[in-house]
Amino acid sequence: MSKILIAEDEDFIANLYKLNLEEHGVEVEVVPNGKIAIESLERSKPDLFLLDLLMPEVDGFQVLKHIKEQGWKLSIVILTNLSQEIDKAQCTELGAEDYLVKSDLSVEELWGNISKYL
Amino acid sequence: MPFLWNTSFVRKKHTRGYHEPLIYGVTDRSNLHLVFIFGGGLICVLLIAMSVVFWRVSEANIDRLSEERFAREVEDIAQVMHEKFDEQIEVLYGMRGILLVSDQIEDFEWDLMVQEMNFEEQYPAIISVAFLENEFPIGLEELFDKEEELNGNYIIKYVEPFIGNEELVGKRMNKNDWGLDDIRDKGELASIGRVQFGDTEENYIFLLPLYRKDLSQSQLHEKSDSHLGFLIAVIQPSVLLKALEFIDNEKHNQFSIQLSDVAGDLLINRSIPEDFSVGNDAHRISWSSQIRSNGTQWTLRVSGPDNYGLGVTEARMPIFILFGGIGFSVLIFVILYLAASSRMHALRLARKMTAELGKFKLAVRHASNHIIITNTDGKIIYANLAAEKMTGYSREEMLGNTPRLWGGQMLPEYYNEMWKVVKNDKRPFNGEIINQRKDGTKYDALVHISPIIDKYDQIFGFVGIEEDITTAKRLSKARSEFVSLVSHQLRTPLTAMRLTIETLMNGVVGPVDKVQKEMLRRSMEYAVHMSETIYTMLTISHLEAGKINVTQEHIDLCEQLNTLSREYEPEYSRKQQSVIFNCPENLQLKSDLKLLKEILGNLFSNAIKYTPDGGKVTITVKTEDNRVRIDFADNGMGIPIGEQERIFQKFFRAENIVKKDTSGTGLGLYLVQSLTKLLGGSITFVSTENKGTTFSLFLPLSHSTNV
Repeated sequence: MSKILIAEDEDFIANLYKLNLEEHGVEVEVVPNGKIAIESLERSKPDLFLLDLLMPEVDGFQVLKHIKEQGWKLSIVILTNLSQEIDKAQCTELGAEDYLVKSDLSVEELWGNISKYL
Repeated sequence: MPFLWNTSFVRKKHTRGYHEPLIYGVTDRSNLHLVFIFGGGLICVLLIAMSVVFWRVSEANIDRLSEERFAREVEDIAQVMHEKFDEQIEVLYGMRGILLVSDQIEDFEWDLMVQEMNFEEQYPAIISVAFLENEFPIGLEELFDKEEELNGNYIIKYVEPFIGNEELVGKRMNKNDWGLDDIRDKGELASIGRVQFGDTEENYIFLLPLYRKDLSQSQLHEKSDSHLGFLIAVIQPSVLLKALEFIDNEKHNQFSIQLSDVAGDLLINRSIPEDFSVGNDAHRISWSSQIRSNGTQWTLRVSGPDNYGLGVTEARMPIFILFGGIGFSVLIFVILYLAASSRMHALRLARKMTAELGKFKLAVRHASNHIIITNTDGKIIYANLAAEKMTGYSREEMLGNTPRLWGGQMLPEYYNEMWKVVKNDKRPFNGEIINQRKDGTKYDALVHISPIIDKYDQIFGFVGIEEDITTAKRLSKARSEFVSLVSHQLRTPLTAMRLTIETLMNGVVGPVDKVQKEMLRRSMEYAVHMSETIYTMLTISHLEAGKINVTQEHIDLCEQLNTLSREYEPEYSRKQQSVIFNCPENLQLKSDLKLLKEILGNLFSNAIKYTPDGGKVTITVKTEDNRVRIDFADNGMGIPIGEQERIFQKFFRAENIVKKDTSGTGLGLYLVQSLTKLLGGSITFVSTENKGTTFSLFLPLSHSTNV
C-alpha cells in the first residue's frame, strides 16, 4: 500500500485530509511539525510527502533544506496556504515537485494532482 | 577675443589637495568694457587731434618740399645759363688770342676778324665788340708822371658795326675811367658795368686787356709797357637763351619748364605728370637765383605754381593723412566698442550661466539622492550632501577615495559586471546594491552609474547615483509578510470548512440525506467563491507589487479552452446555456499558461454569469497579423453605454449587474486587462445593453517581452 506522509500543524485539517485520502486506499501518516516529520522520514521514506510550509518548531523550508542536504530521494508536494511566487520558487529550488494551495483545491482535485506519485 | 573676458576658474583647495573642479564660475566683476569704451573714445579723440597736427605739419612740409623743388629747378636753369655765359667769356679770351696774332695792333683788320669769328651765329650774346687802343707808344712810361697832359690816353679804335655805334670810334678815354689801369694790371677780364642800348635789355660790358704776345702773364706788372689796349665786349645775357618758357596748361593739368638756346638745343625740359594737380595761380611761388661770372652778378627770377614738382599722391598726402587719421580713429573706436560690447555680452552670459550653474550645483548638492562624480580611476572628485548623509563619510573623507570606502559588500562578479558595463560598453549601469555606512550598518540602494563621455567618445569620469531603498525594501517585505499572513489566515479556516463540507458530502463520516447534501453543496459553492476571491485579490496584490513572473511555454489554445469548458460545464448546463466553440486545429501559442488560464477563465465565467438561462456563448479563435484573437460573445444583459469606459477599472461593477448579483468583486476585468498587458496583448469589447457583449482578446503568437 502506498504511503503518504502529511506534515500539517492544524490537526483538524490534517485528519480531514487523512480521512479523505484513506478513502482512496492509501496509508496516511500525519505529523504536526517539521521536526517530527524529519524524525519520521529518518525511519522510513513514504511514497509521497505532503508538506505544509508554516509550521511550529521546524518549518517546511527547513525540512526541504534538510532533505536536500541529506540527499533523500522522495516525492515532495507542498500543500500550503502561502501562494507567493517567491515561496513557490524557493520550494522548487529546494526540490519540491509541486506546489498546491490548500484552500483552492477540493480533496478530489488534490487527489488528481498527487495520484501520479503513488 | 578671449583675452577680453578674464574668466577665472575657481578652484578651491581642499586639505587633501583635491579640487572641486567640475563647477566653475566667472568671478570677473571688473568694468573693463567701460574702460574700453571711454579709453577707446579718448584714444579716438587723441588720434583725430594727432591727425590734424600731422595734416598741418605735412601741409607745411609739402609747401617747403614744393619750394625746394622749384628752387632746385631754378638753380638748374641758372647753372645752365652760367655755363652758357662762361662759354661767351671763353670766346672773348679766344678772341684775344686771335687779336694778338699780329705784332702791330694797328694793322689788325677788325672787320675781317669779326667775320671770321661768325659772331652772330655762334656767339649771339656778344652783341658788340670794340677795341680801345693805348695811345702811347710802348716805352713811354715816363710820360705817366704828367697825368694832366696825358688825360684821354686811350682811344676807341673800332666798334663792331652791327650795334651801329660807329660814332664812338676815335673817342678818347681817360685811363682812370672804369679803373682801366687796374684792369690792365690784373690782366683778367673785368666787368665794368651795364649799359642799355635803345630798348634792349641791360647788357654787361667787359674789358679784356691785351698785351704783346711775347710777354707772359706773370711779367705783366713789371712790363706794363707791353700793354696794347682793351678788347671791349657787350654781352646780353638774355640772348644766351632763346626761350625760358613755362607751359601752364590748366586744361590738361600739365606744367612744364623748357629752356632752349639760340641754336635750338633744348637745354632743360621738365614736365610734370599729367595727373599733376596745378595749384591755384594765386599761390604762385617765385624764386630768384644769383648768377655770378667774372665779377659780374645777375639775377634770374622764375615763378611757378606753389605745388610745383609734386605728384598727385604727394600733393594730396596732407588730406590723406587728415581723413585717414580720422577714419583710423573711428575704426579703432568701433573695434574697441564692439570688443567691449562683446565682452559685456559674454560677461552677462557668463554671469547668467554662473548663476544657472550655481543653481544647478546647489540642486545637485541638495538633491535627495546620493550623487558622486569620479574620475576614470574611480577616485571621487565630487560628492553631494546626500552622499555624505547616506554613507556617513564626510566629503573630505570621500574625495580622492573610491566608492569602495562604503562598498565592497557584494560578490566580486557584481563589481566586474558593473565595470564592464560602464567602462567597456560605455553604458549606464543600473542595479541594486548593498553598501556599508561608516558606522558599520548596511543599507540597500538602487545604484545608477553613468560614464561621462566627451565628444571624442572618451570617458573622463563617472556619475554615481544611489537611492536608499532600505526603507522601501523593509516596507515591501512588510507588505509581503502581511499578504502572506492575510492569505494564510483567511485560507486556513476556509480550507477547514471546505474539507469538512467535502468530507461530509462524500459520506466518509456517515451517510447524508438529499436535503443535507444540497445544503452542503450550496455551502461548498460559497466556500469556492471565497477561495476564488482570495485568489484574485492575491493575484492583483502580486501584480501591483510587480511580483508576477511571466514564463513561456507552448500552449495548445483550443485544448485549453476545451479544458476550461469542461470545468464550467456544470455551471452552464445548469443554466441551460449553449456554448459554441470555433477553434482552428493545432493553434500553438507561446505564452504563460497560468496567466492565460486566469484570463480565459475570467472571460468565460463572466460570459456564463451575465447571460440569462438558455442563452448562448460563442467562443471564436482565429489568427490575425501574427496575433491570436479570441472572441467571447454572449447574448446577455450587456454593459450600459454610459459605463462602458469604466468597465476595466478596479472594483467597478456595472449598475445593471449590481442589481441582479451582489457577489462580484469588480476585480475580474481589471485583472484580465492587467494580465493581458503583462502577456503583451490587449483586450477590447463591443456591447449593447440587453443584447449582449463580445470581448475580444488579442495575444501575440509568441510573447517575448521579458517583464
